[in-house]
Amino acid sequence: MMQKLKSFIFQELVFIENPETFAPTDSLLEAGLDSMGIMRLVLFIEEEFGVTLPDNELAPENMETLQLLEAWINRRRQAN
Amino acid sequence: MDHEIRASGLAGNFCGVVLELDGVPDRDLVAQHCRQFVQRFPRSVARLARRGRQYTWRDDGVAELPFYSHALAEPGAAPRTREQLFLQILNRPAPALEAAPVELHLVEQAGSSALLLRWFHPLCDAKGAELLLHHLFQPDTAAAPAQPPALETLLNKWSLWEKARLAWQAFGSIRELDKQASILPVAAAPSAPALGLKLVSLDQEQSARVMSQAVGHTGMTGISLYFIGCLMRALEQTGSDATGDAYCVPYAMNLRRSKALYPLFGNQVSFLFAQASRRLVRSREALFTHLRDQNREAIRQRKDYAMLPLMQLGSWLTLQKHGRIVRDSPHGRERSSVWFSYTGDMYPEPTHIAGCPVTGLYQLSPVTLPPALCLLASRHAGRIILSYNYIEGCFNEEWLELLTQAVTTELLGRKTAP
Repeated sequence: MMQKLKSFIFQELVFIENPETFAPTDSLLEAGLDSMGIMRLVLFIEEEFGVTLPDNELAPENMETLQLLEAWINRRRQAN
Repeated sequence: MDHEIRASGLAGNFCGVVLELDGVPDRDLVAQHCRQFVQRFPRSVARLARRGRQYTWRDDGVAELPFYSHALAEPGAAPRTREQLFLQILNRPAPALEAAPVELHLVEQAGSSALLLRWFHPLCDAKGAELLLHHLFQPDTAAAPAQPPALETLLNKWSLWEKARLAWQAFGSIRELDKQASILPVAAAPSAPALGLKLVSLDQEQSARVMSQAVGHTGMTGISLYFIGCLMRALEQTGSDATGDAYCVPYAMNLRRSKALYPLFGNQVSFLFAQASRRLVRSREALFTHLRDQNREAIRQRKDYAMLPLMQLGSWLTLQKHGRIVRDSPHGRERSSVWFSYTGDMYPEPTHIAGCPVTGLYQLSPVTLPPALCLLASRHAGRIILSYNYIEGCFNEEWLELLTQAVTTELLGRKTAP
């Protein structure tokens, strides 16, 4: 899951020179994930992983890093 | 769009980005940057050429990027402000096939200065113009390698049938918008059209409050929508005699990856429309919920991507026919109530230009008639700058003052009329 998220983010949404060095705990927001990027990422996650991510949970504590994102998706999967 | 802007009486699709500087940069150093820039990006001095119905760029043997230095006071002429000077530059007629795609203008005033990058819209979009400024003054040849054009990459991914399906979807969503007649604030046709400008700068505290209100009302994903909603509400409060059913505001979707320093040239944006009825606009909470839901649904249905094949159709249709599809509604009116752009923070943030600290930044854009009015919002060093660009003579000064005050009040989220 982490690899799929990383590929989508760095191939489609954010440019960094060396995505392979981007750690699961590095900040996606500081890397350049912007408001429209977040929207595209949420829709990608919903389609790719079959979960619904509620608007009211769109917050840095769930999306700041790849690690937090993965944990959020897993929680939503269990809840769904 | 250049043709439609010229038909409105303005000089053409000449836009600007202005950097305000503390101090005056060394002109020779700026000229040197210009020369280096042209060597790296020869397209920046090409000229537009027509090939059948399509347009292309031709190398015209020009090797210099035009760089002009201006004085505010000229012998025998009335004193003028920097903004007036920049408007004169944007209002100066230039044939489309001869216009320099990029010009740099420096104006000095009492120990400070301002630099205008005037750009011709076919060359690039607003984000591209910001990147031009970056590459002009940060000639870092070791920087990240050039990226392929975002729009062409997307279009090349799709088969003919997929493009046809998307274009049909875009037609459908436009037909849906056209069920409601757009409210147009324009009050009069000007006798001698020229671009006008009104700037409103918010301080850091106000700007922080606006951004916090934006996140609170339209969420992490909808900063542009907050500005659009506030603009709609201000128009409703100040333009009550304008007829129509709904406000309809186009906004751009940048296709570049965030923080990418390329591509510079060509259009790299798609667009969507935000639309809200008068009834919705009168309720702040209902409006922002509606705009957020509308945007989310549009992205979910990939309506922004669907607009791309429709834009590409412009290469094959006559300008008039393409304009009718993209801009006119069946109510016989322009679909856009106003034009809008939120470019946010410039990346990489320009802190110094040729040794002078950058103290402010704003954008300039022409507009068609109607709607004759656009709002360009940007942010620099934590401060929001609202640049209202309009066709002079279409609105009176009192109304513009009322409108800009109402927008600011709405942005700050302070209590106004219900």
